[in-house]
This record gives sequence, structure tokens and C-alpha cells, in this order.
Amino acid sequence: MSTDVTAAPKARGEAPRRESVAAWLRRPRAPLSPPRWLAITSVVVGAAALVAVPLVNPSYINLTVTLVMIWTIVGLGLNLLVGFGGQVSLGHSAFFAIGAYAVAVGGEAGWGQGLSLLAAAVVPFVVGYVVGLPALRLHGLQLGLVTLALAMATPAAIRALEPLTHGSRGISIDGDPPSWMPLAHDQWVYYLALALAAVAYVITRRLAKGRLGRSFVAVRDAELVAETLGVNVWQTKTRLFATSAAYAGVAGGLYAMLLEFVGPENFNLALSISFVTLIVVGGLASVPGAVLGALFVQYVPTLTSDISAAATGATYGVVLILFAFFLPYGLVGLVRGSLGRLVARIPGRRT
Amino acid sequence: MAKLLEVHEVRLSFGGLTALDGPSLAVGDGEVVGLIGPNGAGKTSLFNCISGLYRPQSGTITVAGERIVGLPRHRIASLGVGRTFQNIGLLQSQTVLANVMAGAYHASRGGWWATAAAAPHVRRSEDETRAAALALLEELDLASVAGRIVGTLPFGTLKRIELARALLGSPRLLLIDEPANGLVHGEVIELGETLRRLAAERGAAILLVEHHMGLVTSVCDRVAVLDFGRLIAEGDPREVAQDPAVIAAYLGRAA
Repeated sequence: MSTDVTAAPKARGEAPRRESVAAWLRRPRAPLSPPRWLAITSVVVGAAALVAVPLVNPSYINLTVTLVMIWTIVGLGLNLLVGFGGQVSLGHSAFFAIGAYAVAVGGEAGWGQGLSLLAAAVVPFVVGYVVGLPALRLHGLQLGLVTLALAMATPAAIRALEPLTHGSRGISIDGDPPSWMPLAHDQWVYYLALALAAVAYVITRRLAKGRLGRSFVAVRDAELVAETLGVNVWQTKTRLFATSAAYAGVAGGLYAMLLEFVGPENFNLALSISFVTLIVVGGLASVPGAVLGALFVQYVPTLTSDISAAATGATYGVVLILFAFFLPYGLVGLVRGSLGRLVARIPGRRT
Repeated sequence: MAKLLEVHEVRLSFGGLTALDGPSLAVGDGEVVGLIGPNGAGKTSLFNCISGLYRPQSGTITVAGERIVGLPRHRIASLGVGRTFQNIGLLQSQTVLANVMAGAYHASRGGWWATAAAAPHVRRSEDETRAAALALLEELDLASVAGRIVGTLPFGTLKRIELARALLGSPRLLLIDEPANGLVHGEVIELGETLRRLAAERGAAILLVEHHMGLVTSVCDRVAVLDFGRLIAEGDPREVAQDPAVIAAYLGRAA
């Protein structure tokens, strides 16, 4: 039998080409293509598990999972703008804040939760559109700086708008479910966040592929070419910016309902940095990447803050550098690389 | 009745350098016109004026009777002007199929709301686009690379992919910049035949910039010769090739 073993490499012909680990990590890869039965099973099992989570867990677990879904919504929108559209924004904490305050102010005005959450989408969309009109004439670094200024000005702007926001005192919010619903507060916000995250995920997937998705990528990779294909580049960028602002706003609204309090300190620059870290770690221009990135920004800083309270900033910094160098396609790239062949071998009809 | 494309005394200069010195040119529906001339004669500059990338200082350009100087570039595309680029304008990170399908942008349907709602007409339009793109890739012998990432393919193949993308937009006027670049002789002849056939099937007019005279004479109904931004000759390809002014422009003038 030993002869078989030694003969095997010769029989296969050429020796396998060695690829360095760094090159393997940096290689672009096609999305996983599971057979239809596996895709459907995963979605059904995943959905059932997510629905079951708040029924069997203590409220602090529900709280962190709800936060993951909130970050996922931000990440989905920001990835449309940055990953697919190629327009940098460091300012999405501002739209997150606007959404949160829309819910807070709406609650004070007695609008009800549904209308308040709608306002948390519409107001950031409009503000994003108006900010985007001039800002998106800028490119790269300059756009980054303008949006950075937006994030830095947010806490001060909240304090300055005292009559509306009550300044540093903040606003308390009633995030309880309607009285006829047999759910605790944490369960109610969990299910709201789950439903909205699911809707956001599906819509993002539709926008990111197909005719519009191709136009986003064309705007990102070759603006002039996009224009000669008939894409109105400026309009596309502005709509992407406003849409991603609406995602951040909805997430901010859910965040306000979850914490039942908003104050200016919740919306500092570090929040924007964590949003950018989220999409880079998850995987730029990948829809499922937003989920992986959201898990990262929710759980990893908690782990490192056990070491030191200042470790969060350092973690983000180190992680951003490492991903830029070694994992340009983020965790999604890693998953595709490690599971791609295995999934491709599973039998079944593929779509 | 205005012709499909009418270029009238277009002048374009960059600082003190004159790129186009008032050439006039017309292309009728379904006509295949070659645009030739030595390097730096202004051929690509004229292309860029027609697709709106450059804005000439004076002169007019009309497509189907509509003046396009100063019109936003995406509007020019929706008037039915498609083009390819001398140095390839493909999306390097995308697959061949995705690149070709991008060519159908202005001709296909699906706004933001309809796409988010997965409206039936959006799905139908997407299916039609995919089927048309695959058929076109088949015709251009590119079916085997449909799923490959563009950045990994050779130059001659990229030229054909770009051509497929431009054709998928069902242009009335197709501007093709040096399609034979990077091809060997046999492929050039084949490309010429394919070009003529595809244009005839779709009723598209072609304005073709090309250095390969064999391709120009076999494909074009008519050629126009530019030199230093001026039109120095126009007419039947074979006659133009014998024109002393054209020979002088290519070989240099006697002192």
C-alpha cells in the first residue's frame, strides 16, 4: 500500500502551486452558492432561532442581540453608500442621532411609536439628501472630511437645539409595547428590530444586485464610464447617501426605544468610527458582511474592555489596519475562502 | 431631414494646443464610417466631444436632430450613443457578464422603489437583460468567460467585452475606439465581419477609429481623415488611401 502513497503525487502530474497565506487572504472570491434546499433550510432555521431567542433568554442577552440587529441596519445602509457606491462617510452617527431624536421628540409629542419610527426614517433621508447635494460634488478625502465634521458637530448641535432636545439633560422615552401585547419591553424592541432588520436586509440585497447595483459599482469604479452608460452619477450618489442616512435613522430610532433615553453623549465621533469599522470588518460591498460586522462591533470591544476601558479605540485602530492589509474583503471574504469549496460540493439544484 | 450624427465646425483646444480645428462630419442611420488619421490627429478628442466627455469651445453636434453640446453625459447615452474606450472602460472587479449587463442600464427598467419592492416588471427586465447579454456573449465567442472577473483577462478579449456592453445598450450610434488593438491578423478580419453583421442586425450606425487599414477598408462605407484637428479627406476607403494629402499626413511631408 505504501507504493500507492508515494505514487499519488506523480500520478496527479504537476505539484500543487504554493500560495502564500497573505495572497490567499487577499484573493477576491465569488459568493457562496449553496444548493436551493440548503439556502431555504438555513433561512428557516435561522429565522426560527432568532424568533425564539427573546423567549428563552434573560433580558441582557436580548439587549445585546437587539443591538447587533441595530448595527446590522446601519451597516447595510452604509455599505450601500461606501462599499457599493464608493462614497466615504464618517458622518453617519449624525443620521443615527437624528433618527434617535425623531423617536424621542415624537414620543414627547405623543405621536405613537409607529409614526415616530417613520419619522426616524424620513427626517434623516431628507437631511441626508440636502447635505448630500453639495457634499457629493466632493471626492474621496474631501468628502471624508465634510462628513467627519458632521459627526464631530453632532453632540454640540444637540446641545444647541435645547428647546427641542433638552440639551444635556436628554429625553426619556417610553419604549414599552402596546398594552394588549403580552411582551416585556426588551422582547418588544427585539421583535421590532428583527422585523426591520429583515426588511432592510431584503431591500438592500435587491438594490445591491441587478440594474441599480451595477450602476452603483460603475459609479464607484469608473464615473465617466457610468455616465456614458446613461447613469446619472450625481443623482445616484445623492440617493445612495439619503437612503443610507434613512437606514441609520431607523437604527437610531430603535436604539432610542431600546435604551429609553437619549442624550448628546450617545452620538459622538466614536460611534461613526465603529460604523466604518463594521463595514470594513464585515466586508465592503457585501450584504451579509453587515451582519458579521455588526457581531464584531457588538461583542469584540466588550471582550477587550475587560482588559482596559481604553482598549476599544485601540482595537478598532488595529483591526482596521489589519483588515486593510490582510483581509480587504473582510470576514465575508474569509468565510467564502474557507467554506466555498465545501459548499460547492454539497449536492442539490442551485439557483 | 437631419442625419443621425452631424458634427459642424467643432473647435476644441486645451490651453494653447488645438485638438480639433473645425472639422465637420455626418453619419447617416446604419452607416459605418471610419475615422482615421495619424496619432494625435484628434480622433479620440472628437469621440469625447460626441459622448460629452469634452465640451468643445465652438461648433455644434447633433444626434437625431438634438443638439448635444453641453447636455449631461447620461442624457447623451439615452439618446442612443454608445461607445467603447481606447484603453478599456470596464469594471475590473466585476464579472464579464455583469459588465456586459451594465450596458443595458438606460435601455432597461427598474427605479429605486420598484427595485426595493421587487416589482414584476423589474424582474422581467433583469431576466431579459441577462438573456440578451448571454446571447451576445455567445455571438462574440465570449460565453466561456462569462463568469470570469474582468481584471484577469487579456487585452484583446477585454476589447470584445466592451463591444458587447456597448451593443447591449441598443445604440443608434456606436463609437468604437480601436477595436483591433491587441488582436492578431486573423482575429482582425473576423472582428470586421462580426462588427458589420452586428451593426446591420441592430440597425446601428458606427463611427470607427482604427489604425488597422485592412479593417477600415473592409468594414467602412466611407472614411474621414483627420490631421492636426482638421478634416483633410473624406470618401470611399480605397480612394482616400490613394489621396496624396492623406499619404503625406501619414508619412510626413517633404521639406
